[in-house]
Amino acid sequence: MTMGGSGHVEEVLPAYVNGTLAPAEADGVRRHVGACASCAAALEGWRAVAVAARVLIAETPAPSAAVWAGAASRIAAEAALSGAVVAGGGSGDRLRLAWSLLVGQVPLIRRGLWAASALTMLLGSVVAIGLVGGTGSGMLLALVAPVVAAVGVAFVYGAENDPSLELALATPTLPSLVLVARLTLVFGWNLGLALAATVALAAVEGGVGLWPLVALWLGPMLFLSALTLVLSLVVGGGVARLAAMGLWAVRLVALSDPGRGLAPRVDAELVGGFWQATPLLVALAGVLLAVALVWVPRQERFVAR
Amino acid sequence: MVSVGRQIGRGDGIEVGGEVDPDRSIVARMAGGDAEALGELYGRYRRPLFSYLLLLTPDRGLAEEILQDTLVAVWRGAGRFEGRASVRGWLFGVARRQAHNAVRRRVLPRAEEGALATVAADEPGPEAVALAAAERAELTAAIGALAPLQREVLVLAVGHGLSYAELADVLGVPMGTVKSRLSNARRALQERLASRDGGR
Repeated sequence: MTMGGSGHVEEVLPAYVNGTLAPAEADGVRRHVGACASCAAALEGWRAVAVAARVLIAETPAPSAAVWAGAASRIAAEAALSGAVVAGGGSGDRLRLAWSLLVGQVPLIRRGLWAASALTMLLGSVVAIGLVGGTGSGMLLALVAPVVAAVGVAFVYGAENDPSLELALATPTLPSLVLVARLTLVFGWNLGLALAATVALAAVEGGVGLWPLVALWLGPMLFLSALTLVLSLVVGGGVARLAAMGLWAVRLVALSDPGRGLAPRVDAELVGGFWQATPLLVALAGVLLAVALVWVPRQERFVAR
Repeated sequence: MVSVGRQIGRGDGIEVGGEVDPDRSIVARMAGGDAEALGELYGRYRRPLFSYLLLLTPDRGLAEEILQDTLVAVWRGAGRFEGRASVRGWLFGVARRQAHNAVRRRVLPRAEEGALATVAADEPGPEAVALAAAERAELTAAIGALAPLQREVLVLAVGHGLSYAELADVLGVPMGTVKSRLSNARRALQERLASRDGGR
């Protein structure tokens, strides 16, 4: 350490002030400052600057929670993709990664959605089992389950449903993977609810097979949900929900008014037959889902830049 | 020539000798795929990093976006993190690179080397006097008014407490440049304060 010139110690004063100088050097600075008025003044100056800089940092607001949520979902999406791509990855790893992707999406989905679906489905099954009974109860469930699932799906994706989505997609990511994860969660939840209601119904009614009951709602649920998903991506969630409910209403009217045509263009038998053709509905749902998966990355590319 | 000693940890007077740096074990866990470790690291550094990013861009939304990019980049890079650099220096360095990427992407003006004011090397007045007269708020405002590169090095050094080695790492310049940039920043600050005082 040079003790003579005034400039020599000044150069290490910032490091002395922030405590990153080696102990021996710090001792040297301390000794020098005791004897050199110019360096002592410079040290005071640096200390004041340090206080001001720390105040500047302390006054910074915290970043919003969306930063972490978005990063977590991007990381989970990447992990799931690399798990699927890396050939050497064990199936256990892949499952773990897929699970982390799903869990990462949970906080990003509207919280009220879960309770709303469960409540509607519960109400539907209580009415079906308690009030209607008999063969009509299965039909009532079949009328409730698809529309509940479809309305839920309209909340899955899009900026209107998720303020952090835009942030999450601001840099190249995998929107379709995010979509699949959210869809799995929301649709899976509604599927589980409908299955539980059906099992309860079968148990109470007795003598009715589980599959015939499931077949009443599964096809319509898949198709209506897939249609709502595509509509929510293309024209927005609100319109999609209205369209799903409108389409479903046509079916209800057709059911309650068999034999006669509702209007010149609507054939009740055709409407009823369509909604009961499970293989056709499943196939159509598959096509719509494929459209959604192709649509999402394109749409986001336009939005992001 | 005064040599710069090895860094001994952060904070004035805090003893860290012999202690294992918790940041390093966190990064090691991240490299092993532990996403919770990233959350811990974020908890420790979100405010410093966000504050630093706001220094680089005044746009809060953009700063948050860059912070998110930084998190993702840190997660990706954890496996390649080399023990020789400090975790803190590494984090700030990643944040800086992400900020520059983002700014380039958006075609926004960024801090230019040329924006640095050339500072006259003549003898400044007694600093203690100038600083005693300056209120803290005035000093903070003066720091905010510095040229971007000077403000950056100043706040990183005495605000965030980065060592010279860490600063060289973060800013991507030799240590000599770090030191001269710091003393230029200090001098520019003094001049700003002196001219303000004189203007009253």
